[in-house]
Amino acid sequence: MKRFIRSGVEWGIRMLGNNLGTQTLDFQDVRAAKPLLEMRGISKLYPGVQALHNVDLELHRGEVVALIGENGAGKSTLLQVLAGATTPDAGELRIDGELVRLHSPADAQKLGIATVYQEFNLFQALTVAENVLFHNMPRRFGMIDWARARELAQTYVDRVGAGIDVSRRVAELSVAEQQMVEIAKALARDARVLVLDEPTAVLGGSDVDELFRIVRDLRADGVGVIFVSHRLEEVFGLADRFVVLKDGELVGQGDVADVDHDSLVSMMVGRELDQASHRVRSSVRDEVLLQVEGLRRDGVFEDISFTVNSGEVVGLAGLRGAGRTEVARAIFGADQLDGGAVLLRGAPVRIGSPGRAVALGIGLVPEERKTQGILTNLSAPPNISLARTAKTRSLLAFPRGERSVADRHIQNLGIRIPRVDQPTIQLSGGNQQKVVLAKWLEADVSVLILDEPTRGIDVGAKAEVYETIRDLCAQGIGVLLISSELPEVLALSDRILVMYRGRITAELPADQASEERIASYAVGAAHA
Amino acid sequence: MRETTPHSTGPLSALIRLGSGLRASSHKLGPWKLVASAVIVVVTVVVFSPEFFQQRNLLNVSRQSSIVGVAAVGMTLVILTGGIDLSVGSTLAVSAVVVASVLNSGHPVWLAAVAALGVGAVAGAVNGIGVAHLGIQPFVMTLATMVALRGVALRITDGGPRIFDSDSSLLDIFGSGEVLGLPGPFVVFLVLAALGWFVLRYTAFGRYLFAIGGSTEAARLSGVPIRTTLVGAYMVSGALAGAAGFMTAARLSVGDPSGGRLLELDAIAAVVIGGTSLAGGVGGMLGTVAGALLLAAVSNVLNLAGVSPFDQFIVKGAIIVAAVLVGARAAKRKVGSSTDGDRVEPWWRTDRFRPDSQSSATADQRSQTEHSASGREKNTINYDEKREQQ
Repeated sequence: MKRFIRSGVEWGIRMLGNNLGTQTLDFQDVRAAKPLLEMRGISKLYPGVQALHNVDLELHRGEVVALIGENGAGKSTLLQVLAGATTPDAGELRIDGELVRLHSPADAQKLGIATVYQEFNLFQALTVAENVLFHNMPRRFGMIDWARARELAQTYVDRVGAGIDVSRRVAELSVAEQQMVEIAKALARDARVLVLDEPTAVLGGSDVDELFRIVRDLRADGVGVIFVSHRLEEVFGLADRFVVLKDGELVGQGDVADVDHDSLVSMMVGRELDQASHRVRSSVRDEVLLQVEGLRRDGVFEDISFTVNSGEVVGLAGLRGAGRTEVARAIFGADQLDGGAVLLRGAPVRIGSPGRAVALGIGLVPEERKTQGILTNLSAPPNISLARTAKTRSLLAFPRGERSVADRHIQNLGIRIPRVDQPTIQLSGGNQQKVVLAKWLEADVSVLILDEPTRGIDVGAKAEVYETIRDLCAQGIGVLLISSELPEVLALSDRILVMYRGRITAELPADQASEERIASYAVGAAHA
Repeated sequence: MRETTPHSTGPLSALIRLGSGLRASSHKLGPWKLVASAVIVVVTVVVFSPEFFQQRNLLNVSRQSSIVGVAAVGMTLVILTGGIDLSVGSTLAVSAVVVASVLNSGHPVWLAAVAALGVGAVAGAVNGIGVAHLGIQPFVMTLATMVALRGVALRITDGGPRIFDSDSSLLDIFGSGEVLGLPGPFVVFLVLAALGWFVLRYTAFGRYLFAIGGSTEAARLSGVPIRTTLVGAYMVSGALAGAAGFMTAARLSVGDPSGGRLLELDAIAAVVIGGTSLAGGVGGMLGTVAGALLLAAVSNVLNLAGVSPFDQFIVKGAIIVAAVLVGARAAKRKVGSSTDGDRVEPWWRTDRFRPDSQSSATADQRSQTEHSASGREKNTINYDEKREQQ
């Protein structure tokens, strides 16, 4: 009975919302109307941590709000509150001015709040249509009406303009397409508040533009969008307003038009941060460490030749899908090569497996930190010692020795770790990445390949990772840096290679490179 | 969880508390809980079946735990990698009939022991090669060898049990004899478990097992020799099942080709009760020892209390579920105590912390996304797989 009443009320709320949504066509004066979503005084205390303290957030129809802050600032907790996954200790949530309580993710969805997480919640084995309409498959005589389901799903998918065939399985789709399916799924559930958790972290350049177009379309339809991003240029490119969290508190909000890049950064980190502008004097030495000649992997990349000197950072720029990660994995022995030669200090080597690469002194910091970089089930000490143990083929491994090794790296790299013996899954992204770096330092590598080393890491930790990379070079390590963030490539690299469709299209010395030049080579526009 | 103010109602719940206490201690939640749980168990058992604590009975319990315990030691290594070994029961049977054959043809006992370990190691190597080199799911691979090896055992003896005669005192030690006042098999179990504990804690091989269980790909990209390690784990499991076969034959003076049925399930139960995650990467040897002892103790107490053998199975099943549930809640509670506000795991990832669903669906989904067109199933070890072209 109670449930019945509740669903009735929800139906009422939704009808009300729909009506408002269609009537409020002039979004210029929406601020005057009741906000679509209103959070007041939200607080959440976890044992030992005030994750959120008295946070307010407002979202109007047809508005895009950027939620920014360093890792650990409370963004995820706030999103969880909004998704109904966490119940706040204090504070209230209103939708269209109505006080609501979210006890479960289902409650949030019923009220039209849809959250698209970085790790998508899609059924990989099911079709797009089944995913989009999962909660409400059209039925006929009690059985699923497949023809109608496909038709209906296609209309939602078309609304995000993805041009995806809804009878395809989700597992066959690219990451960008999966994200669009997630958004289509939200539309299918009449989402009025769309929450995007770092939506661009998994996308390449043109896909980001496509996502922005979709978000703008939704905004024009009156959907309120909250999006989390670490890339400030996206905040300026997409958002109407910004909300900055720091240490669980709201430290700033306002119209994006009224702030600049530097003031946002200083709000986030609480200090002035000289942004990546300082390219330190190069520590390049004469010795060629790594040389690759005509590397080829059929259908993936070909004719890849370059060198990395001792103490040098070679940036490998390009769009996602250009083959940069594949080149890195092939050099590291993780994937098979179909041709070409790899030389270490002038001597040809055959690297058939990652184990061999590690033995030769090559390290790889992979793009997928949580599944490929770090062992989240283990604490930092065994993680840090793992590659060294494998490299030296030692038979024994002593916890106490690992512990003291780890203590040294934790101090040197400034890894913030409450208890050394806690599983690394509990660390922030930046600290996890430093553990991965420590692993290769400990394994005494001479060549280190970094694949998107700062993806999903907050601004402060980024600066520290940069510093570590420079330290490594000062010690004579050669670094191959893959990054989709051009400022990062420019700030760190001594030389920049640009890849386009499996080939190197340009090699630029750092002083001749600019974002524009790199970008034009990366899209295959410029002539070499 | 109200472990802090326990109000036990019977031996069952008390034993569960013991299990959870052991697990809690392995997670460093406080060793005092272990003591408190143990006290409760002692008190309740004294009330319900005081005979339990008679020395003779305790020795009996330890003897009964030995065979399962030895198999569970090897099983722990395999489960830590995220695999499973269903073939240990059949391996035990093959080993037992081989021991009988060797002894019947007049060879010395030490040769029979070597043969038992060797047969087990070979069976384990087959499993390991199937899993590590051919990429067959551990469940499927060891299911196949479980069936096939049972056939091998029956074929060797033509179906019937093979009785052998031996008055060797060496054989007696592994069967019904005593060492230092303790049952021989139990001493073997403890020694092997101690070895296993050492391997897990102090050897590179042990590290690799945890690493592979945590993420095969991350381990591989750190230079860990995946195939060698996996084959090694299955070989150890097989060899220990062979040892269990030797002990069984020694005890009964017979090589029974239908022996060891359901041994694999008891061994898995002991490992799981001991807090080792079936998803791999989390757990340890102390828990397994406790799990094996707990299973034997439960059977014994129920026997003493006059519970029918049929009901005992039901109780055993309930205990497995309860032990895992209690452990899961303990692990989940730990999530909340994470000290980094933003990193508190969101709801769709919290099941990562439950001992039995460690590799969360999202992680699997992610890897499937990467290897999109591969179409392999999610538990297959795909470290050989090439990254698909985008």
